[in-house]
Amino acid sequence: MPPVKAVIVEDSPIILDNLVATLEELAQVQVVGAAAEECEALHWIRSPSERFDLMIIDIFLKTGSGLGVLRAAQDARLDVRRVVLTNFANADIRRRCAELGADRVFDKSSELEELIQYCSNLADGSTRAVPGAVG
Amino acid sequence: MAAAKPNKRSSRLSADRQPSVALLLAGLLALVIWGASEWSYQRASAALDRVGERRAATQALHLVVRHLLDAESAQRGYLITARREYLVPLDGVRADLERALQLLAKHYAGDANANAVARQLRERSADKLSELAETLALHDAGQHQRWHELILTNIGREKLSEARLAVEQLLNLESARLVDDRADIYRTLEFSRVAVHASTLLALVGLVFFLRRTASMHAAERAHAMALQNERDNLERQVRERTLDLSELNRHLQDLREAERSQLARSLHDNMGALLTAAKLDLARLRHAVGQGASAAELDSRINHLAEALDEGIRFKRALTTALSPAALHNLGLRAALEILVSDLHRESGVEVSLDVPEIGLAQVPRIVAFRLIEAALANVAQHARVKAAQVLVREQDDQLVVQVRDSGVGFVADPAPPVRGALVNLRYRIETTGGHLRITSAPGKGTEIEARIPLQTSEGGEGLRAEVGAAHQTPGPAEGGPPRSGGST
Repeated sequence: MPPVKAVIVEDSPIILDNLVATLEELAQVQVVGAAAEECEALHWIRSPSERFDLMIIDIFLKTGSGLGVLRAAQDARLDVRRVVLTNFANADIRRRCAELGADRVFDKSSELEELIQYCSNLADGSTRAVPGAVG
Repeated sequence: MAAAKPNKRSSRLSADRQPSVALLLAGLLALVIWGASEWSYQRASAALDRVGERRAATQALHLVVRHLLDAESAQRGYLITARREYLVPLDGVRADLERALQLLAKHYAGDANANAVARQLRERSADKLSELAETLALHDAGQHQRWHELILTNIGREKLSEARLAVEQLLNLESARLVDDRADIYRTLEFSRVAVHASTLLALVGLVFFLRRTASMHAAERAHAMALQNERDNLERQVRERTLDLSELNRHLQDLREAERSQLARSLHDNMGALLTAAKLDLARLRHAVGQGASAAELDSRINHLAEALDEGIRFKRALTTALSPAALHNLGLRAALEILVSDLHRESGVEVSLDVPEIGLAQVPRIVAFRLIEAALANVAQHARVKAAQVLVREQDDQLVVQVRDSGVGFVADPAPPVRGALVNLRYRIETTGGHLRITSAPGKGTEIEARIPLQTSEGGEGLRAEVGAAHQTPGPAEGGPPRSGGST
């Protein structure tokens, strides 16, 4: 199976590096791009330099917000999975992310395994039939 | 006799003496009025008495003449008719005449000339009466020829004439004297009138001065009340200003606190958060590797990676806690904490700080205030002074801790920009609330010296503020930060 091509929107370099290493090792993900700010992320949405299947978005960015990225992806009817990986995954945030078209929301502290699993499932095609289910 | 004339004179008299002077003058005025009216009354009474006497004298004089004429008439009648009833009037004449003459004698007793004339009158009257008596006697004796001759001698007529002359003289005298007496009465009345007018005028003048004094007293009272009001307004304004200053400072401190907290939160989130997430990711990979049966070497490398992340976290925590509240300061004292501060500063900014700090035990408040002062001062040096050297001096002097931080950098102007200003203002208030004093001397190009005196015995916040109030009148030096006008943040 081909690896899932992913773009990660995350402003902490430590987390980004570790996330890339972990996902590529454990979940058959190939990270093709990263953005630390909302405007960089929008660039990937509007004029990507290559095709990708998954976007992993953090809410709190260096400038702007992950919610803006979600909204832009929704408006652009991007045919790409969007998931949110954040430290503040309370009910309100989850609801808002869902409204903005996020497929899943993962808590950075407690749902890393679930994220890895999700990416794995994506890679071997078993989540194609489960759109918009928000955990 | 008037009361104090211009207001200047009355103001020179002390407030205490003025009432007694006024009383004295009023008494004098009353005395004068009483004296004048009494005197006038006495004089007028005397004059009127004299007028009465003169009238009596005048009447007596007329009586004398009438009696003499009556007597003569009686005599003539009797001599002509030989009827006894013509002699009846003669009976009372002597007695009445005598009475009148005595009155006159008494009346003219004091006047030598008039007395002489009165005596003359008496003598002439006596002569006339004796002539009359003689003629009657001769008639009764039947010596008609003899009495006839007596009459023809005209002695009787002469004597009567002289008596009438004397009476006329005296009557004229009385007339003249009457005029005098009347004039006297008029003069007395005139004097009395003038005296009353003058007294009225003086009383009015006194009243005017009294009213003026009252008015000026009222004016003084009003001025005093207004001065008090001004003073109170002034104080209120100062209180308002001070309250505003304090509110602003409070707001500034709150802002500072919020900024610190949010910075802390951010720092924790960015650093610790990231490290812990990285650690969790490491664990996930480690678990997977174990599950996949990876080699010991591979496991080892993953475990090391995890350990590094945790070490990094610990280092971060250490730096953060030291920045927040240096353990060395609390456990090892001011000097030790300063040594660490200085070495960290040198490492980060290259600034070399010479420390002249004795090993002394300090109470918590002066220790931490001194430390924060030096920390803030050195931070300013590192950021703004553009020099690589500074000196720190700490001494105990009397009951105070003296702290000096000196550098020979670019200095700053009297009203520095917010970052420097904010820190200085904060420090100033902090030091002054302990009852201490902060002095900052700086000028562009001339370096900076910050000197603080902190009481070794910590005082209540109120005392510090009271000292602050006392020092409120001191004007700031060339570069001292004054009370905050806009809240600047460090």
